[in-house]
Amino acid sequence: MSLNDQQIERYSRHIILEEVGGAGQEKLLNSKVLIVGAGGLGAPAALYLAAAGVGTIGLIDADNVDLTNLQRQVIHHTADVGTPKVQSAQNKIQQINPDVKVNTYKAWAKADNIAEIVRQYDFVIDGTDNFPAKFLVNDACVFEKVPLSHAGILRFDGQLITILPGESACYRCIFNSPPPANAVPSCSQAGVLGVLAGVVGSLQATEAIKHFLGLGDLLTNTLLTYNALNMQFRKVSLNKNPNCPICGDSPTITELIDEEQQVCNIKDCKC
Amino acid sequence: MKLTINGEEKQFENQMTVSQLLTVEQVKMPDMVSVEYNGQILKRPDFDTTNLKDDDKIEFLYFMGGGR
Amino acid sequence: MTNEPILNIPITVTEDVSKFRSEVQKFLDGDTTPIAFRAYRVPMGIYEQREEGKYMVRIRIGAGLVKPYQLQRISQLSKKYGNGILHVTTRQDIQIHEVAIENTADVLESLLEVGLSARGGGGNTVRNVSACPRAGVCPNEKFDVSPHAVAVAEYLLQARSSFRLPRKFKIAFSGCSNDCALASVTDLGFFAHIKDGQKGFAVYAAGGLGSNPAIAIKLEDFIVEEKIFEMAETLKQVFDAHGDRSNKHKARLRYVVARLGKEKFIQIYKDIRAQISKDGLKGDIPQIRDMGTASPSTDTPTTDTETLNITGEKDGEHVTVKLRLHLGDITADNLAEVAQIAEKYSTSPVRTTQNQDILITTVLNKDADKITADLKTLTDDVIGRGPKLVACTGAATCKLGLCLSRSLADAISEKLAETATADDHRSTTIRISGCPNSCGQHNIAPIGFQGRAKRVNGKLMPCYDVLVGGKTEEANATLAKNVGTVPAKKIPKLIVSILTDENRSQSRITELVKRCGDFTLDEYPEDFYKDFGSDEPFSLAGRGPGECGAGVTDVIKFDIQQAKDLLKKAAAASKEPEKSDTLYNAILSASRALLIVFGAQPKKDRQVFDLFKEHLIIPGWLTAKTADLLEDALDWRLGDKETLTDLFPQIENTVSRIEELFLSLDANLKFRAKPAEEKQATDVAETKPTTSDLRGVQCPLNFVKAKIALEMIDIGQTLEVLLDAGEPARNVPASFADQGQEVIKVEQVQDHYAVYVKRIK
Repeated sequence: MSLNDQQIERYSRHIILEEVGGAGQEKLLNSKVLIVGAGGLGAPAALYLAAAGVGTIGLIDADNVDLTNLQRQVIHHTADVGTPKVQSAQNKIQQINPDVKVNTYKAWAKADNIAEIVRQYDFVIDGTDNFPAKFLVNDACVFEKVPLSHAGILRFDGQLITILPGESACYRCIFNSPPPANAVPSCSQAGVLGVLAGVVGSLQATEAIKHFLGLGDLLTNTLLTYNALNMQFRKVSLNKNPNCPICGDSPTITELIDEEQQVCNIKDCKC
Repeated sequence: MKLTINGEEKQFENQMTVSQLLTVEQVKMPDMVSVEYNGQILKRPDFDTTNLKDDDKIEFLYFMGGGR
Repeated sequence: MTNEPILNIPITVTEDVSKFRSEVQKFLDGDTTPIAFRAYRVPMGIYEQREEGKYMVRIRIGAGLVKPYQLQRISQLSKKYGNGILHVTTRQDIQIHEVAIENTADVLESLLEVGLSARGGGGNTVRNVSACPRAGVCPNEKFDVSPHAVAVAEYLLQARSSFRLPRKFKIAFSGCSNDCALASVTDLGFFAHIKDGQKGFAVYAAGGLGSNPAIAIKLEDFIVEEKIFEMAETLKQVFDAHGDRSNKHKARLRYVVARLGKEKFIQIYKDIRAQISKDGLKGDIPQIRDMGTASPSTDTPTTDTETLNITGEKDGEHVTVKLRLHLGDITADNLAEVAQIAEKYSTSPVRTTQNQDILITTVLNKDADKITADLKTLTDDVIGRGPKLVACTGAATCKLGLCLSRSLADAISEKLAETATADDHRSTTIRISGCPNSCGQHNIAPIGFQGRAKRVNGKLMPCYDVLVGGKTEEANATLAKNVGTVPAKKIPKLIVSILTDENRSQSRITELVKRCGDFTLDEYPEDFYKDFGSDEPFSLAGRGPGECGAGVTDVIKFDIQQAKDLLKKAAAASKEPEKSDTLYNAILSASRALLIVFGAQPKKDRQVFDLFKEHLIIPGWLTAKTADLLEDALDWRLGDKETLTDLFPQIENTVSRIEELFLSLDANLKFRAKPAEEKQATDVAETKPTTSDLRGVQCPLNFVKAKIALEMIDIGQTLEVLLDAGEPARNVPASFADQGQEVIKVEQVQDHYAVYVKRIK
């Protein structure tokens, strides 16, 4: 057992748990999670994973912190506006828990970079905000066989699913390919209740931690939907789709592609 | 016939296809909805030709793209 | 054609050959160990073959160019010292097989006389620098790249550091984006381009095939031709400084990129190149000189001569004649004949190709039929039937090979010979590797096969993964995709179905593969469990430690996973004898898993347990108590023990330990885990339990620390915890009990308490 006294204290509430113990905490310290997008979903996920002592956290985001982010991206503070998101996030993670090593990638996730990054991690959290990225992250995780928590939020609704490539349904099993640009609104067009990101992002972190500890039932083949207004959680049961273009019986997608970017058409949109 | 839609049981008088159900249920943006029919994701071309029957279970799954 | 060699061999190589002679003598005299000798032997291009005492000599054929007089010498050496059969490799080298070790120095010196060398044919060295096989005559090329390939080889061979790299280093030059030289999937690849009238190259690096294939990344859009030496030296230094010497399985350049990321890698490259540019290159810079690949034009009018083995050359007046070699092999006599025929009809060097064929270039149009007739006297099969089959040497001669890839190739050939339309696919290449190391380069083939072992219904079956859709191309290379696994014996028919199907799409091929790859049947023909070319049941035994390839770990992983799955199943089962039976199979599967590492493949259960004791318990990798566990398992099997359910925790423990040992295997197949400690009887009264003194520690931290201490002892052992009176002495035992551990006793000792806890889980 290689936990020092500080760590034994820090993680005591984990260690006490029958199902976790010192051995479980060590597993977390040896785990590596990649968070794609240091925003609404990525922020709470990163905070809780850091607190939990996940040893390595990777963050991909090309943007700088913007005032409009602060309503929900709780890892960024007012003083951070204008600085790179990955840097702001890294600072807070390090302040919460110096045990955690943070790898920052100030870049957009693209077909030519995502695979190499994904393969260095044990679990990926989708914290992206557009469909081409969500499909790209799904595809990269399927090819690289890295487990993924996919999630999406909009207005008062959120949903998430955990993907074990090759074993359980992936994103494309449900949604074959991205919707046309403009067909589905983004958060900047339609709005989103800030705290919704906190709930869903934390659920994603929960899945990652459960995966590392081998505990409980993951949301594999299960889409968990949440509506903040009626407080309903529903589980929709799914299956791996034999017609899936990437993990089905006759895959047609054999390499990563950057699909067309979403175009915003709201008048006077300032995003 | 009795259909379970998004977990809720509902009764319907007439026969209908999946496409027609989308209209009847006033599903917004029906072209963007993914339909799970009795546990399997239905291919979009099959919406028009799949006739619903008693005890079928349907889930409407929506694209949700936000997250950052 | 003059009798001057293609490649100027540096003096350092000549010196090394003399040194090699004395090393051989030392080895024969018993003055040096096989391991020490290996360190000399392999970088001299001399490889052990599967048969004791026989060696293979791999001759560098720079840019695939070799002159007839050199071929004559190779042929003579093969007849005198070897087995009379030469082999052309996928890297354009030529190999002489089955040379006795005491003759190898003579072979090397004789090769030197005709300007040939095997130095760097193997080992952690700069390997043969390859080029497109029709450099100089191909209509598609931007310009002839063979001078550059040869010059870069000469430059790098000068330095001894080129033979002491972290691992092998491969360089290729392609004259156009079709990339026949496979520059898009190699450590350092050059693509010819002309910019503003100047000859130069686009440069790519850190590609590679093998078990983690990667496509090369672009380093430069264009460098002028004179800068090739600086590039070669830079990448060599990048590799030298950053390749992981501690793990030979992750040492190649592409793993450096995987580890550091593309951006950091490119930065390192830029920094080192800037330094070299500043300091200047050491050693002699060879001249980039004409390799005699083109022929003086004549007045002969162009004729349309494209046929099956003849292709037009860029001057429109000459043709290239291809001699297809089945699996790259040619007899020494035939090779000598080829040399004579080449001299008769051509003035340029003979070529070896990445498809393991031989080309004679710059043959006049009017001589095309005559030369084909001459070649036909050597073999009817000048042109070859059906698709070209490229196979690695396979398990017949390679210690890393899992399957007999060449025998599969023969079986496929036979099947295709029966198929009328096979010849419609002459321009397709099918590549076969007998294991994941990809010496057959299956990952860049349109259809490729990778050998592996699969445990089916308890027995090992030779199988191949099928990969489709690979291709090399500048900036657009694609790695073939794995579409499924099939038993080896089903492959010849599968290939016929693929080739004769009108639909040649990937999804159709995947469908055909899935149909073949059904492993769920209760029974398979006996024949399926034997590889092509073998009468013995397929086995991985006889693979000594240290030579284990990637495919063997697949089988171990499978056995361990099976054990874990059985444990889960046993936990869920409630009835006997099902529960105990599942537990028995779990411990059997786990015990069998690691035995392959020791070259053992026992058939009977008792043998499995005995070998497990011999190799894993007695040397101390598992506790002596585990032997008792195995005895209990056997007793249950014989009916002398009622149930194994009470041993569930020990079985679980043992499986975990076996997995721990497996995960700790290093590149030399040694366990890096700590040996198990010897255990004594777990009676509390007789043995001193481990003590954890937590006096002065408050709740809940005292329970946390006590719990960690309990995790560090074995299941069944007892921990003594010293606690303050009051809350600590009450809460800690209660928490342990809540979590299913057994609190044996709580006693007051003067001013504190001692709690004895037995670890149950």
